[in-house]
Amino acid sequence: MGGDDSVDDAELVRRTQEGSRGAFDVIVGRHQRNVYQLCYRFVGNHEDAADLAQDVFVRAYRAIHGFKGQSAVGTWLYRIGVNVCLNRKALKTPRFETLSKVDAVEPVAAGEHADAALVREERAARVRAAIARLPPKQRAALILRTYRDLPHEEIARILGSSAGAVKTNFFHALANLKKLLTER
Amino acid sequence: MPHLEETEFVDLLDGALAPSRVGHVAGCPQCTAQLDTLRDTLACVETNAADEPSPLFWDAFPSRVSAAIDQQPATSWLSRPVFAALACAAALLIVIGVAAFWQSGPVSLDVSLGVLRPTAADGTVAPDDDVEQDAAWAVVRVAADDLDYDEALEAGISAGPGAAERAAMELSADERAELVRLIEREMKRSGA
Repeated sequence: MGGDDSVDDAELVRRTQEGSRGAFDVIVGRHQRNVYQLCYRFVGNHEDAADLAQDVFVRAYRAIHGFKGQSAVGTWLYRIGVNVCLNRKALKTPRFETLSKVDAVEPVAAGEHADAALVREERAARVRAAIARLPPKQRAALILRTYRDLPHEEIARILGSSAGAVKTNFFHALANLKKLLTER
Repeated sequence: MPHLEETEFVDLLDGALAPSRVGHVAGCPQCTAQLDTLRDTLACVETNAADEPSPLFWDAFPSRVSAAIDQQPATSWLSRPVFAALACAAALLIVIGVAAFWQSGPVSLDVSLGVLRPTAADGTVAPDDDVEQDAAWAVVRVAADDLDYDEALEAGISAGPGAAERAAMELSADERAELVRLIEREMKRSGA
């Protein structure tokens, strides 16, 4: 009961509110990638991202009786996710391990030399490290705009600010990132 | 014509800037250089491909979440948000009660802090210059320290729309002046 993958999110929320854990499992399965990726972009390592993503869904489950469907479930989960990531107290693992150390699936592209793949991964790790050093609101604006492709207005709703403030944070995120990436 | 503002650069990256302002960039080396820097950095971020954990991780993740939910204590009237709200209310009552007992003169409610402070003979409220040192405020702050936005919302202790504006309208002239002073001090402290 409640575990039907063809059911839309609103119906799954209603079933969860009526006590169906199976329905909530479907919500988790449907949104786990996006929530995990959001968390991963914030912290830059698998262990913390997995813990944070789990925390997001636990909080969502606890709060689901108050969810009125005024926004999409994905947007609501992003809002919880951003709050969880911005409020995290401590990290369990060293930051910015490359994902290959934690059972990542990132195959070398066909025809790509192994050295090129290594350089690519090192560059990606540097970008992740630089992003995680940005001030929280700048980091959130950059991640939601660049990696989730959300419009500024929706990011503003998630962050509880204005579209203008989101644009300003996005601008400063890019400017600061430039400085961080050229630091030695 | 003035240089592009920060938000205009973002609009330009999105292709949403007014043509008249786009025209400025073509003839302005400073704005062109800034735009090139932003574009290069954005390209660097965008090409940072998303990493993907093992498929086994995704298969196991819903069970992991389910186990974590089962480990959470059942929601009851003693659950943390409600308890934190009760703790806040109790702390405020204690502070008000103690203050009322110790005050020899009339007291005034400092709406910005939620505590009672002495009122001078001329009716003005003595400014409190160091909120961080205020023991009463510290009690409230500790009680609410772990309460995050979502939990406060769940517990029904968040301010409703327009509540701050309504509260400000009900302040006396002295209280408004004190509120302005506190806001200005906090803005200076945070560098805003």
